Amino acid sequence: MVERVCIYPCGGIKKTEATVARIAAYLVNEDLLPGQTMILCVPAFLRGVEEDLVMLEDYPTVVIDCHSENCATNLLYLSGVTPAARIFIPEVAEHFNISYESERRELKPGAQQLAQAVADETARVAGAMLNNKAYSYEKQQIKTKTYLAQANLPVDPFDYQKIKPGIYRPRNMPDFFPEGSDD
Amino acid sequence: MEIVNKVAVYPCGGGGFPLSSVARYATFIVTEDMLPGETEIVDAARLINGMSDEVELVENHPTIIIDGCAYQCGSNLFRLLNLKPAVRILSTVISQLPPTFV
Repeated sequence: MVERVCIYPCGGIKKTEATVARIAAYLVNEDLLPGQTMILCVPAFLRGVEEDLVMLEDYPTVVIDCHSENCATNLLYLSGVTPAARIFIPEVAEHFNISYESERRELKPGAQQLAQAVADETARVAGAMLNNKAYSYEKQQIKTKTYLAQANLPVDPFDYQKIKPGIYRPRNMPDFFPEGSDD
Repeated sequence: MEIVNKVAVYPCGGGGFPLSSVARYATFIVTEDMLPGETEIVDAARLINGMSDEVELVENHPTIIIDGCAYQCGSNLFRLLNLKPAVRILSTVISQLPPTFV
């Protein structure tokens, strides 16, 4: 059980799914779990803004990857921090059979529906961390690796284990869904 | 010296302040409506992860940075990567703050 959960949506801009990730993070942070979640601002984190460093080190982070390029996951890898869970947008879309438009400036109805689905899944995972008394999180320490923009990243740096469609957990991180629950 | 055939635009990639959304939206307007084909958005997430097309974009073309807030994270990322932007846009709201803050 933890006090708050950090949400890290893909910080990209070129893909529709990046906008979906960002809107989903706002839905979780403002509507579904207000006061219990924080959004990681990547540029601020890279600049060393204290609050962004603290939220990443002291609280479990749910990353929202928008594409198989895994930019959100890989940034955490470059930072030496293991996420508590990962939401993978393409699988969420497939699982809920949501087709969506390619507009990225403002989301159209299909993409808006996907953002809500991603938000619901993210809140389900974060809610489990917040409410499961058996869940514990050990603080981590940022150890920034020095090869930004060098393209020599491993394919699956955290050895993700698939928990549900679109929901993953690094192999060495604790379970968040309570034992015996429907989740 | 080569003629510039494309300009990269890197808007603040943040999520904590409304001005970061303003920067992103402005970039979509430039790249999709005003100068399509002549400008391209820099995707910071892909750049940090070393995607070759993203790295080539900022290495081979002049980049306009749109900083979203006084933290100037857009400019700072380029400093971290040892790149120099061609120009930086700072929103009026931010530029009116005291110089020590900006």
